[in-house]
Amino acid sequence: MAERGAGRYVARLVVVAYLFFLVAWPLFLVGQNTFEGGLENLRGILQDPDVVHALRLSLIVAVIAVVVNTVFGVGVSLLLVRYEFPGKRLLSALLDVPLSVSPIVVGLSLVLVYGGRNGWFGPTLESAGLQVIFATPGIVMATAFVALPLVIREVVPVLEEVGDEQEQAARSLGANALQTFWRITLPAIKWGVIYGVVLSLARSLGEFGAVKVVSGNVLGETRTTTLVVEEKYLNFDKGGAYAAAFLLALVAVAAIIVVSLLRPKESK
Amino acid sequence: MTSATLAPDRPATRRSARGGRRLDRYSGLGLGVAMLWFSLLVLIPLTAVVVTASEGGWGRFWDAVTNEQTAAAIRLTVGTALGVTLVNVVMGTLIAWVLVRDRFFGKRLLEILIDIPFALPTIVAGLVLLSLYGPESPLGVDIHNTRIAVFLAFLFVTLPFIVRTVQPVLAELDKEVEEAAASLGASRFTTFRRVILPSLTPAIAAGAALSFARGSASTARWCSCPATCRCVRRSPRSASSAASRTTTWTAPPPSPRCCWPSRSR
Repeated sequence: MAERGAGRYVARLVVVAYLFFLVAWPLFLVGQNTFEGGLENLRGILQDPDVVHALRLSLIVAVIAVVVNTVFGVGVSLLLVRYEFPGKRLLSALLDVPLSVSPIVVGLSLVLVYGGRNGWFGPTLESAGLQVIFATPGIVMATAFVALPLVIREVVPVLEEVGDEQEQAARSLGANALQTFWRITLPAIKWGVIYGVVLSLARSLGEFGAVKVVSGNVLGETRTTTLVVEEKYLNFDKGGAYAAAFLLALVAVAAIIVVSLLRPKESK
Repeated sequence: MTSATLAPDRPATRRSARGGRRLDRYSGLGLGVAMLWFSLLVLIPLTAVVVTASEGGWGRFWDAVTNEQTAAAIRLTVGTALGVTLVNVVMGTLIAWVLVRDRFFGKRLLEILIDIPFALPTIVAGLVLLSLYGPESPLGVDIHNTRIAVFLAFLFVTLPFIVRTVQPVLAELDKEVEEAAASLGASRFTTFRRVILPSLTPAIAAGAALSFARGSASTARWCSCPATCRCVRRSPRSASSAASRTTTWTAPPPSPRCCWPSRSR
């Protein structure tokens, strides 16, 4: 710190105030609203079987989507960084598309293709006994869609940075591809993967727009927690809405804190 | 975001040769499976949107886009996204600057705060903002159902983008260059304008593009956020018709009644 002029303090103050009014205070108020009447609100939603079902569904969907995205993400990252094939740059550009597509459009696009009535593949799948839209598979797909690039974005730079000398050494010492991956590559990219997984989990739990279109919002069947928040709010059940929102926000904030705690450990 | 996960003692020049090996049998199979999943999940559905949108021909598309409601919604979206991006360019750069160059108690907390909008469920984010700026605001400002609410909501979701793209670049920047500029008699403003800004510009531009894309694409979410979804509900057409309208335009036009100020501006 070379100098500590007045400008520095002004900048600091402006930044702190901006973040306080935009993020910190609103977030704090949600907690405050939740606990306004003691634990009443929280207990209320946790005793509602529909809400409990929604929480469980959200969790199941998020876990499946995260597992799928992690396997896909790590695989694609390896392909993108370590291999050469035609269309690589196009693929890498396309992989970022889900981040910039509006979630409602995501939901709509899935309905257009997998919708039971007049989707492209929907009727065929349905006659084979697999309902996608308005059922759990559709919700999983919508969630996987929106969180798709997160793992890749975390893993690719780490893979590039690590280089492949160690992998080459392992191979020249006679390790097969699987051994090289488990013993060399995975430990090296471990933190990138974990970071990606935590971010995906937070994103998957909280997906709203795409899930709303795809799920059909059937009470006790395909209603996820985010849909519960909306429904409670619309029915003027403020306490319940804030309590459910509080639970979701808790997970999101916990995810971010976990990530930020992991970071310094890594850099030592 | 990612730079922190890299080992610090590793010089950037040690990158592996770009490109790498050619595909062998297993990696080829892996690529095939990955592409199949990616196509089923992303490419085919998005193609379906484009195909359905163009079904009625260019004329129908044009009609839908120039439809008064839709046009108003698009104007609102693009206008707000532009404004938000502008604010973000200034505030994002400033925040990144403070986070990199300043040291004070509670800085870690700020780092966490910046990532929260990214991880927070959008519907919850709407509720979060509403708790401070809604009808029961402790500040006494009620911007519920106004354009400012949309603006604020955009501002909230796009907060991390510029900060996180500028931050690593700023951290890499050599302080010596600035000191050299200062010792040669440049004022702090000149140093900033001639030395720092040029090297930050690409990062700022990248962040701004991200923030604009996210901003113009997130209208739908924000329209379905509690601040505005009441009106959506009130309108006779439900989510399905909102969805069918989106086929014609990728930034889904919310019902303008909904995001337009409910009171006089």
